[in-house]
Amino acid sequence: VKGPWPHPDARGTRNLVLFVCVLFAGALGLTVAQGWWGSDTIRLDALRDSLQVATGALFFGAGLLHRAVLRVDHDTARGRAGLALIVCGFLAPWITGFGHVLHRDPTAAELSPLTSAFVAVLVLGLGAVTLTRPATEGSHTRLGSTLVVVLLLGLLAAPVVAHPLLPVALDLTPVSHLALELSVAALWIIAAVATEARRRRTGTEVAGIGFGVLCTMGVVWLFRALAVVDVQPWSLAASILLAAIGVVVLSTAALDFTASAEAGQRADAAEEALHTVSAAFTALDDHRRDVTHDARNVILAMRAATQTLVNHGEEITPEARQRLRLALAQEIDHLYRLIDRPSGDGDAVSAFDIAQVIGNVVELERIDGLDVTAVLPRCAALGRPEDLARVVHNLLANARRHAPGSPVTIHGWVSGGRLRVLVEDEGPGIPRAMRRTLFGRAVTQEGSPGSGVGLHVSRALMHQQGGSLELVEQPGPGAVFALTLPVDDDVPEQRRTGISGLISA
Amino acid sequence: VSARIRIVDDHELLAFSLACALQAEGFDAAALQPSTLEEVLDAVLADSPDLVLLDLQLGGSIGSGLSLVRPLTEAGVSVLTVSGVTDRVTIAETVELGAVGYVGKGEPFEVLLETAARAAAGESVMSATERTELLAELRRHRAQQRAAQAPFEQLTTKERHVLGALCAGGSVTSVAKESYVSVPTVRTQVRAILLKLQVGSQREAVALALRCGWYADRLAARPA
Repeated sequence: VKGPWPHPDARGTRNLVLFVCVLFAGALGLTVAQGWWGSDTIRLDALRDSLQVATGALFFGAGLLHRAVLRVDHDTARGRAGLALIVCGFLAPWITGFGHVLHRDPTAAELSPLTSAFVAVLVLGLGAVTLTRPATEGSHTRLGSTLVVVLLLGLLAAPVVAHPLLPVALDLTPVSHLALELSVAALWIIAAVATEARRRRTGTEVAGIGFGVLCTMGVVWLFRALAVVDVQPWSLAASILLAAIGVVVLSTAALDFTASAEAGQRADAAEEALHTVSAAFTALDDHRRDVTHDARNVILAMRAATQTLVNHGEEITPEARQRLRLALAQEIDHLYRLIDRPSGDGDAVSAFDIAQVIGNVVELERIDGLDVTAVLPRCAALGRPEDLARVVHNLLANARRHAPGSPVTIHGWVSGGRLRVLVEDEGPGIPRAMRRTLFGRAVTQEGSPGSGVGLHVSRALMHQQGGSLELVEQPGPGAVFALTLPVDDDVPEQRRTGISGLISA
Repeated sequence: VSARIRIVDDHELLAFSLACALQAEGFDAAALQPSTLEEVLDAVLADSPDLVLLDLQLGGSIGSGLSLVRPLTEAGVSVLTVSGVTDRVTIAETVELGAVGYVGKGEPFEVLLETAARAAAGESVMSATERTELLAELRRHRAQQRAAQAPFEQLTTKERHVLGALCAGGSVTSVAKESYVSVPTVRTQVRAILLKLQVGSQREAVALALRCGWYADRLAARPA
């Protein structure tokens, strides 16, 4: 890929070289033809002016393309190339017009030595300034906008400044004109050699403007020098060669632009992928932090409880002692659950058949001797079936314990997009004093054999799957618990509430 | 008359153990369950305690215990923060709000008890030097945050919007889709953001916005 034409497509390079050769042959052919037919037959100098303007447009376009590519590859060399090309593009038509204003001598007017020298020095100076100093993006943007402002002002001010200059003869003698053109040519060749040496040494190259292009620029100025000696044909040849350079530079920029558009898309895809991965890692890290934090708190609380039992076991009341022991047992359970489901996969909810899940639990309890009946709609609820089964089991176990011998009824219905299930027993009910704290950790009735874990955990489990568990306040005897779950909206309405779907277990 | 201590901690076992141990040490101690801000405040002030042991992560509807420190100290109650939070800045904030001191939950249980007992007896649990240092650290931290957020002042409204969306987990494509502009337009805005914040990549810009608190402040200023 390291060649005078810095782009990867070899066939493209060959085609471009061919194109330049054809243009060059055409130019020479035209000049020979002009010699045969005489200069009055074909007005080649008019052709030359428009060619110069077109070349300006080519350079300008190439510069813009390079600036566009700069957004993707952030290559400062490309930024320089883009700037230089935009400057050339601005100046090419300006030179054409301004030469006729500045000079009275026809040769000088056509070639405008002063302005062309100005362009060459400006472009090379810009290259030198940006090459020696590694420009940051910010300084680059500032340099670019300053240059554009200066150029626009120059273009606007040129006619105004030119008018008072008109009586002054700015024409050069042929000898000094020749010397000027030759020295500019030498300048280009030196720049070409320096660029090539730099490329060999550091491996960096100014995108689109390599050894070949700079050498050809030198050749253009050599042609101009020849034009001073023998006006018409060489001047046109120089313009055509310049136009050819414009085409080459523009095609290189276009190829780079196409490649960079693809690279940009790939970079976008990579960015998105990286984003997804980083989001996944962040979620994982957050989860790990949560689990660690919870586990830490549990362990610290357990330590506090055991220390209290060890150091002050004799001084505290037996009830408090018992409560601490029970709470310790619960915390161990809590800790186990934290570690048992560390990935958070257990949080996923799915649609399941409520009648079947609760029906299974009810069936087992009936086998175990509990008098329980269930009337449930056959509907799909959203949640975790195993957790719901655990909650219902807890509620039935509580009923069995606190309301021995009492029949238990379960009935459910769907309203407002939620499934409600009531679990009622006809036992003594919940003592008024306990109702407020019923769902707290480690709440047990005095003299009760239960560990108190059931209701607290049950409520947490229901909340985790987007449902709820409440004690229903009611005047009569018995305890009534209401649990709710969201229903699956994808299931048609009549299927959810259809009378035919009711089952009784 | 023994000092009256109330413990506000969402972790019941810890609160209850502390209460039991403090009772055994001869204090009038009880644990209070946090529910809502007003309820906790009412419950605590109804007992007119000498000292409140306050957890900083109360969860539920209260969230940070920081909001309880000021009303409690204003009511003449000493507040000792007992928390798993070990971030110096948060601790300094509680001290600034009037807490008498801080003891980490991770400290040995005896240290926890002893500190609580000392605070209840009205002894100082934090030396003047330590307090000054903490407050100086807080001031330094705030100055740093302000300095770090200074470059964000240069951002235009649109650039702020883009950076906010990126911080919220969006990508250039998703931002473009949401604001009905083209992807290159958003990428140009992102480049402007990178230039102004003097960072090399989009990821770095997001990290900076999160680290120096710009995004948190933006969320706080304009709740979704």
